[in-house]
Amino acid sequence: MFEAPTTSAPPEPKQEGAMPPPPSSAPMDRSEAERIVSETVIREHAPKADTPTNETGRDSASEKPLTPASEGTPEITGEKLKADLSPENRGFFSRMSESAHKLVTGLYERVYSIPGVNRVVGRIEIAFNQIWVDKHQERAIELAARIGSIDSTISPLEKSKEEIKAVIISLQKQGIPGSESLNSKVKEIEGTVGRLMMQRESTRIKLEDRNGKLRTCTEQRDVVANKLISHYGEQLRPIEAELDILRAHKDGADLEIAVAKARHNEQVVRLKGVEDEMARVKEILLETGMSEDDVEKFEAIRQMTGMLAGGYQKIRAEEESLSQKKALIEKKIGETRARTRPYLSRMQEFDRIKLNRPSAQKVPLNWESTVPEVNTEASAETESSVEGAESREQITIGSFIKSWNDYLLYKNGNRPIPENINENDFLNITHLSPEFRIKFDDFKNILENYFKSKNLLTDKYRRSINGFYGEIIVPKHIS
Amino acid sequence: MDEVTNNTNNQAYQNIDAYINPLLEKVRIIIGEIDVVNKESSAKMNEISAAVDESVAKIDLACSELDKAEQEASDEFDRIILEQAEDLSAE
Repeated sequence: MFEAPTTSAPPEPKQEGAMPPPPSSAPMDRSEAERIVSETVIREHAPKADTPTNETGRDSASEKPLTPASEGTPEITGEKLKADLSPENRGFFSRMSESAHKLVTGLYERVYSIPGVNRVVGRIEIAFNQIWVDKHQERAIELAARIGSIDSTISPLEKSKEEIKAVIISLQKQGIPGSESLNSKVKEIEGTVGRLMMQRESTRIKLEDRNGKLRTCTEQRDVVANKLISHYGEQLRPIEAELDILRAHKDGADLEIAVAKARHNEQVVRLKGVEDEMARVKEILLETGMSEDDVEKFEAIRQMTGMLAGGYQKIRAEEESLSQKKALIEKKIGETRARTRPYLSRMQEFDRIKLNRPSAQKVPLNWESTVPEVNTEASAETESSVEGAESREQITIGSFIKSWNDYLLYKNGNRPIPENINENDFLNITHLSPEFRIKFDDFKNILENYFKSKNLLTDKYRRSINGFYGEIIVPKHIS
Repeated sequence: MDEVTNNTNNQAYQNIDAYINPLLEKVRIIIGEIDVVNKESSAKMNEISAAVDESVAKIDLACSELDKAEQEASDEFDRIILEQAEDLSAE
């Protein structure tokens, strides 16, 4: 005999009534609910179309989600976080539920525990964390499971209703009484199914609402991040341009010092020539029978000795002054480079977090070091022109340039190369006359700084200058 | 005899003065040139230093703009994070 099904509501989904769409015939378990959510929710919100993913299809950040710290002291973080928030956000934070407090303090705790993490980078780390997608997904899965549960309750009820209806028809055909009670049972089932359908619809709306919330949060987050990154890019361009200018200034200072040193060396050679002639005069005076003391008291000699010492002193003092000025310039440039470095590397951090891929290179700059370079040239420069002026013979700048260009043409088969010197440009930049006489060391020093200022100081140049010295200067003593 | 020696010496001193004076002039010229080189190189270095200060000031300004942008973005992110946490904890 037929047994009427129970019409009591299922335990899980509670209240409310009936609406389409049609329920499935099989009960839905959790994995099925996850599948539905994955297809409808996650595809929309998890990595964007332009977000690179790894071979598993999940973005790499999701492999290491930033989870709320399990250890630590949330109370301290809560206070720290409150102090770190804007007044408006602090007010919101104070009104938040305890569970929301726990969630955010855990996330901020993790960021605060990373030494030296920048404030905005920490925020982006949190805002872009997979945990939000996961939590939205978790809620969505719960809702989808609830829908599945309702469907799995409705389905047997519908089946029973159809069976009862068939029995009613059969009883009526046979003229057997009692179909009224079965009809009331059918109505009772229809009422229950109606309530369940309403309940299903209400849950479906919540699921859609959950999707919408995730979408809104993701969009808001992206808008803020994109605005920041765009603004950063705009501001970094002039910074990078000014850093290039600073580098050119540093090269300019190096070149200026090299030129001044070469001019001082030439002057020292001339002062020493006069000094030698003075030594001969002193010898003549001694031969006349004057004592050494009397010779030194000789007015013209005293005057000459004083002037020579003064000349050397002026050169020394100027070279020291130039060195100090250069050191100050380098210090300012070094400090500025160090100050800009975090901003330049932060841009990469933004991209890394936003694109969810690890940074290949932490600090990339077009500048090598934050610390002002150890001035290996300075030690050479501090050897004053006064002491080191008489190493090799002097020849004119014009001769050096011609010999250098000839040498390069000879070595490169008459093919012009960037290291060829444009004489007019060289003389214009160094303010030297082509007749200015100079030693090879000074020429080399000026040439290096000249090429450096033109970004041409390469290994090839170094090989060429060494070859020039070994093959031309030493053997031929060009003049 | 002494008078003869003195006259000879005086003559020698005058000859030496005549020899030294052009040397003194030569040194004066060199020192004048040293002054020119020093003045020029000093001026050039001061020029470079002033240009460096100008660039540094521009960079400082751009950095403070970035600080401001970071502050605003941080506050926006905080708002999104807090609202999201509250929303997810509410259910």
